[in-house]
Amino acid sequence: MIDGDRSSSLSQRFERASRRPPGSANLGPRLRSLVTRCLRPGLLFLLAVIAARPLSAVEPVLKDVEPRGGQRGKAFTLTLKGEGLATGADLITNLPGTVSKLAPPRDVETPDTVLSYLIQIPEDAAPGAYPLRVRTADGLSNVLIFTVSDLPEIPEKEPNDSIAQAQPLTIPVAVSGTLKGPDQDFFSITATGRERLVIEVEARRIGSAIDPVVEVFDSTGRQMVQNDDAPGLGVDARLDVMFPRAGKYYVAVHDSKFSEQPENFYRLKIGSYAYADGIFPLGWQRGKSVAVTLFGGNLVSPVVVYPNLNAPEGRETVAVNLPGPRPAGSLPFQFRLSDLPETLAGAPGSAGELPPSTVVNGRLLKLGEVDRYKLKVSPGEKWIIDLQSATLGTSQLYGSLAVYDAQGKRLEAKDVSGGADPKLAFTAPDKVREVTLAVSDLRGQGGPAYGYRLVARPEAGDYTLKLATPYVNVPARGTAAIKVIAERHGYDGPIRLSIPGLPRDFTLAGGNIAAEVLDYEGKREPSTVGFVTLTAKPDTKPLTAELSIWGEGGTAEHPIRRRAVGPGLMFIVNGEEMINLTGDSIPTKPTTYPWLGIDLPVALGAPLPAALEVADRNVREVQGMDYPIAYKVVKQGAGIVTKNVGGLELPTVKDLGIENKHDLKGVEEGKLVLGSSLDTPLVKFDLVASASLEVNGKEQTIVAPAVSVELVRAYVLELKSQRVELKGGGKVELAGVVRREPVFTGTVKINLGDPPDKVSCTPAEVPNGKSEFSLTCEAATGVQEGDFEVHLVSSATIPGRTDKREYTFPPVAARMIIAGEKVAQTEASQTR
Amino acid sequence: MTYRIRANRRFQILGVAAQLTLAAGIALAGEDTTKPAAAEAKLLAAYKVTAIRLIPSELVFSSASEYRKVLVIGKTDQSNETDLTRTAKLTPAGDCVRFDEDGYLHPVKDGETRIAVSAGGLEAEMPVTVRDLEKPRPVSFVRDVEPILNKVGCTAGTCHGAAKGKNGFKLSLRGYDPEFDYDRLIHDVSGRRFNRADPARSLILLKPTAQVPHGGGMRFDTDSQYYRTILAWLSEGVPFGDTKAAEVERLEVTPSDILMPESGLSQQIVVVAHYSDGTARDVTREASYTSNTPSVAEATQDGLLTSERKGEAALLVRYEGNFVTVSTTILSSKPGFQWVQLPQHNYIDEAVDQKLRKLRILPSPPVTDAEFLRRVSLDLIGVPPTTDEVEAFLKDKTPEREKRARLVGQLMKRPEYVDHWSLKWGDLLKSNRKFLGQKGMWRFRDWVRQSVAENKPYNQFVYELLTARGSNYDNPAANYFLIADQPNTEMETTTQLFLGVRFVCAHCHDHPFEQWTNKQYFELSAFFAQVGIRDGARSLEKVVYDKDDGEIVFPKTGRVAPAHFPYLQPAHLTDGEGRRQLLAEWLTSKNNPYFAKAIVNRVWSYFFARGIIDPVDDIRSSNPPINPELLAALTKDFIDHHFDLQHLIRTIVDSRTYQLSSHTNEWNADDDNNFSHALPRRLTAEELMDAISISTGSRMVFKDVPKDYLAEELPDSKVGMGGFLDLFGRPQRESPCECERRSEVSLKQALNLINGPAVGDAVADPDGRIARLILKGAPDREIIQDLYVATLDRPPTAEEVQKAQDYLKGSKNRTEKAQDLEWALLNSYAFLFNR
Repeated sequence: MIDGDRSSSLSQRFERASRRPPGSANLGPRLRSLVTRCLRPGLLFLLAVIAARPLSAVEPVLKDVEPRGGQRGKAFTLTLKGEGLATGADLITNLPGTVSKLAPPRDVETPDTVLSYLIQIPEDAAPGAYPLRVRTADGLSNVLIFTVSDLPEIPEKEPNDSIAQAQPLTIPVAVSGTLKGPDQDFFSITATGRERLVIEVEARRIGSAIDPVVEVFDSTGRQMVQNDDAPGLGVDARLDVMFPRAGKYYVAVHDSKFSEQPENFYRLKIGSYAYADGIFPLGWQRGKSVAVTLFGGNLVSPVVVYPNLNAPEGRETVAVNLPGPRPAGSLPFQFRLSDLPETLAGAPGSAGELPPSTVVNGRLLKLGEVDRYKLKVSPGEKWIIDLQSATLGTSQLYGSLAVYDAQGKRLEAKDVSGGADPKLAFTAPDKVREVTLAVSDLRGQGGPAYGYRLVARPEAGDYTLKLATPYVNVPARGTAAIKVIAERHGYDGPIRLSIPGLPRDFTLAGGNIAAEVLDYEGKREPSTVGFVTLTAKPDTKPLTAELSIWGEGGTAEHPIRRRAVGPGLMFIVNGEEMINLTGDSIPTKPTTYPWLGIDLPVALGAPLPAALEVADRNVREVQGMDYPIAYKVVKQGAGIVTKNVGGLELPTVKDLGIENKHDLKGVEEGKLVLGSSLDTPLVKFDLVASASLEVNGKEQTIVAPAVSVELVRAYVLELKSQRVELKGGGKVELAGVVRREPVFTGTVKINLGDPPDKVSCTPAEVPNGKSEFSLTCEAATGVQEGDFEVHLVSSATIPGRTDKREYTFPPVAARMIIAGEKVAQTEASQTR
Repeated sequence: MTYRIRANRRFQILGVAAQLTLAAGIALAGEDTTKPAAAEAKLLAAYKVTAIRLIPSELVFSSASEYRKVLVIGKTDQSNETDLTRTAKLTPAGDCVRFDEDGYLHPVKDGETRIAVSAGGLEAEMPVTVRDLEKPRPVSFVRDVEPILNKVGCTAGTCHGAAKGKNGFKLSLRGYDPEFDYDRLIHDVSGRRFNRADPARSLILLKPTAQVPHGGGMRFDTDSQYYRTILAWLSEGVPFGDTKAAEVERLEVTPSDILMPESGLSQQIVVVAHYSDGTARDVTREASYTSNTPSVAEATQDGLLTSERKGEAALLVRYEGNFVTVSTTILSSKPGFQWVQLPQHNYIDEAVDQKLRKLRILPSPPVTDAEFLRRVSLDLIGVPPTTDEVEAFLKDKTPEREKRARLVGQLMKRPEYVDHWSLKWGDLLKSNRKFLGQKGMWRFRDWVRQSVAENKPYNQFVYELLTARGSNYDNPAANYFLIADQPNTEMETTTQLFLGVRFVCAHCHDHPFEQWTNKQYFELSAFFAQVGIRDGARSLEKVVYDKDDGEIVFPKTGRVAPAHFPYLQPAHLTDGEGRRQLLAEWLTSKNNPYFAKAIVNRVWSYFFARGIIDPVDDIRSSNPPINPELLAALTKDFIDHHFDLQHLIRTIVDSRTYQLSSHTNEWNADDDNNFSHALPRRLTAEELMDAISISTGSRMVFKDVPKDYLAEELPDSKVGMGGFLDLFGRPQRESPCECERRSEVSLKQALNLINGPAVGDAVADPDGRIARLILKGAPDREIIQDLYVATLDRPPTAEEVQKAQDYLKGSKNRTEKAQDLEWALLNSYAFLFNR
């Protein structure tokens, strides 16, 4: 229980703060340090990501790989660089071929920073991108991406900052290079007359933060062409150049923003390899078969392939590449998978109709083309209409979607996508039984590469889950938190998270994604964030597992079970934050690689220097009161200083926050006070307490197992009899019981809020220690007969609050029957 | 698309106008008028009047409330015209008319008569007819009362025309909204402002006549015509009147152009309002007069203009939302002026000479080759010439004009030309990562640079910006719609940038000093109402598109404001054509009277330190061009050459006017307006930094850009923020106004140049000019020669060489002495200014 004599409780301060304008400095100095609404969602996301991976000093981290790619049929030495790469580390990869570990180079002073392997890639290896990671006794490393092609590999050599310093290349070639800040790398090539070459830069597609620009200069230094973002390559660049005459030319690569990036590598590929820049359709149903056409680029004619779509559930894409002939140069397209039936637009018999919950694959072939589909609806029916194009990365369409009725009148539909592709939430108006969906390009463009995927689903809905964590090392005897993000597609119920097949050595806590919460303006919105924590049991042996998190939602009759998609690898790109016109900073989302098909690799990591323990696992917090949760930082050695204790991001619930009552540096034990106000909605969520430590001068974050918190009312009124009978001139007792939460000690005042005319009732007060109450109601003579709904109203002062504001309880309804001799039987009910 | 001129009453008064001040006081009758009369008498004594004429030459009165000011203009034997009104004797022949104490003629009774005029020893007559005086002439609010409220200051911004009114009484600013004002007067505070039973006890009369306490004091007395008019209006039941019939279609102001041979003279202005019902009346006393240069000429509130000193002024005459500007030129009476015709290179010189000759200003001589080289290099490419370039140009014996023209051609092909002019556009277009994100900013910069490099026709450049659709990464021109995110601000930015017009005042009310109305503001904004912006798939990417919905609501009526141009309506509105396409065609049309003029004026200002209209992005009636003929000629030439900016620039720098020295003579020393000599300009922040870099051989290194970037290549103000460039006035790119770039000289700047690292580190750079000269063992004379040429772009004079040699000679530390010399040159006026 919290101190009762303090002048102002945390709960009250929340209430005061909530009455101030958003964004004002409304919290006290201590409250401002809380991880609450003061932090923007994007920043919270990053904090959660960082905090969810408690870094031990020895956890392996991969920083570089040399080379970044390999040639089919060739053997080469692969060098991994990073930290914590202890001897005995295992390389984890699906890279085809043989992998032989080599002794560390002799000139390396710290052996655990370098790992070397001899790799032999077979001739028939599939060109593409392959993840690499290592596993040591201290856990898993992050992923780096390695690519396979038919181009000879060489490294970039500095200085090559100008045409005068250009590094000579022999074509074909793949150059692994880096750009340090505003660096520009120049290369010289010799082309024959009318030679056509593909000049391509891989960067963002292979896990680099570089947004490359490639330029070609003639022998005089005059720029001939340049490319920043090529169709189908995201922000990567490609030029297809016909050199007019034989001679020397220069190729330059730089970042489009000249920005400084931690992941600053790129691969420049120059050769005469075939490539396509268009694909259609853009996706298909998992496990089915479809003819996929690759076209454009330097292909003489389109190429049809039949990709294997037998990918496990949760995998969002499969790779589709040009089949021979060699040489292979470009990376594959990512072809979308779905679990819905799919069809092609204009398929025989379709008659322009859009079947519900079926993906239609179409494209706008001509400039200004508009594709129209008819959709059968019922008045009042809610629909989600989803158009995917630009976000797939394989379409040049900036889609526009509109809904019209039979008379051609545009119907109101709300775009709920929040992104590049439209997603309309639409309710069919009265009398409307058929609507027309119109798909067009925002710019009025069209062409073979303007493909799209369109699906209309009843809003009753669905959701998808994404992990905010690429992998987890659960510290020995410690805890790791995993953040899960729900994207709701019409489903607004709660989601319960679980990990099937969780090794017995780990204990799972948390896993609640609430249904709806109130934001700070009191507006209801679906909750989209949840946490699970994994805690390693004390005697756990080293282990590694590929786990998946599943969500359970829906109803017993219609359960919705979805697998959370892992980001594969993730990082932040510097310089992708902007200030909007009102001066607010707009951070961007981390870059993720779900196409790698990696869900949740988990390993037992090294023990942490300290553990954070909390006293509770399940908490019932009374609305309007504070709840203190005792915590303790248990140190495992010397040189550890506790800097702060708080909690990972809470759901955006009105007036809900936590405060560390003992946030003084160096204090190991204390109480986290979870505060709420009288307006805090009744929700259930998980609190993940976290502590910031200084370990031998380095900062480290640890977390505690999740605490499930349920906001509840201070008390509940129960009537002994849900109906009362009263006659004119008579009396009746309206009796009941006050069921209190243990921490609530206030006196409850009860009255009948709306007695019928000529009926009066005496109020009742129920002090602490008592529970029963009785109201005496008396009817005057001549009272009107009838069956009346009456309401018991109650209020109480919450202990510890000084604002004198009374807690008002939603009225409890009962029926009061005023009649002659006979009284009907009815039941009382509680209204909320 | 073809255009026709909109028959707008206000359009016809475009042209020259005068600078106004909001705080113009309301002066009623009673100014001291003895000084002008004395001057006129002196003039009459000096010149012989050879003819007189009367304005009007005949007169008809048809209302008892009318009055008329009669002008008497004399022609002298010096071919000048002078105002004799105040010395003339005007005598009515009978009792049909009378003159009041201020010299205004009033009708008395129906009949015909003549006014005998005697002035300058000459006689004339003016026939006058008075009729229909007994015919009732109802007094209306819009035609009679509102002009009085405006004249006596009730609707001024400092009084009840303020945004929140004054003391609980709010009127529209300068009476732009008569319906609103009528409503406030009649219905506000339960109609307490007028007394139906006893009109003379109405607050509207008691307050301005100070019969009850009035914060604004007494505005007119109970004997005045204004009092009588308002009383009559109250007595007649406060009729609002017919707004259509009472609409002033145009003002006739006489004279429209004033040239005075010397200061001290005066000129009576007569203002006649022509109404839409075909009637006209003298409103000389009700009109307002404001001079843009009161120190040269100023007018009383009943239209008597008095010249104070030599110079030019524009007098803005304003009445009921109509404006006319009277240009006034006061010549110097200084004897001995002799026009010396310098060579004229092109039409610019002709137009400038014409004006200079008229004003008795003698232009400065042309610059030397060295001066020209430095000036034109800084102006065209933003960096000074190198020592090699200086030496080569000075040695070149090609005839001067040919040599200079060739140099201009070479400079315009330099990459720095693209840097320099792209920087200007980057500033104006607010190319700033704050609005565009880093990638958008870089892509926008590339687009601007490409446009400059290929000398994209200006109308095409603007058209592409205004009609840009799609990704701001793939079509960088679309970034234009990210620098302002609301239709109103997009409109304000567009009009200020490309028309040189500031519409922003009309957001809340009719523009107080311009023709633009509140309604026009929203109608023009409506062209941007259907611009859609949504996120693209790439980080921070935005896609600009045209929505098929979206409207602007005109706040005054609560109705949708139709997309409508304020002038030059297109003859045909094409169905299905996007609003932005229509806007772009209208705005970039060669018939648009502002579009070409605005850019020509802007470009001109980059070479002459001021625009022909200045400020360049505030073109309005009350801010007239200093040389309309010059601006018109430049504009025509620019349009005739298909909006070719390089042609415009080449024409300007080829002119003798551009090539005049900054040294003045006795006839132009006090002229900073008419381009009779060059005005020294402090180097801009980027020019200064690059000049220091080039002069010292010490290259500045900026974070976040490739290491060989010049300051003028920087993408936005985030690079090098808070340092030297900001101190010297680099704009932050938050506004489309030229004024955001500061060109002042401050103590902080001086201290930075004297003690700061920018100069200090540059002169001491181990790879810099001094170090290289010392290391190669250059003798003192070579060091001196090199430093002068590198820094001031000219060889030192013999005296300078001698002084410098004396300074260096025998020094134990030649390096430091040489550094001192370079430091001194870098801090010299000759280096810091473009002269």
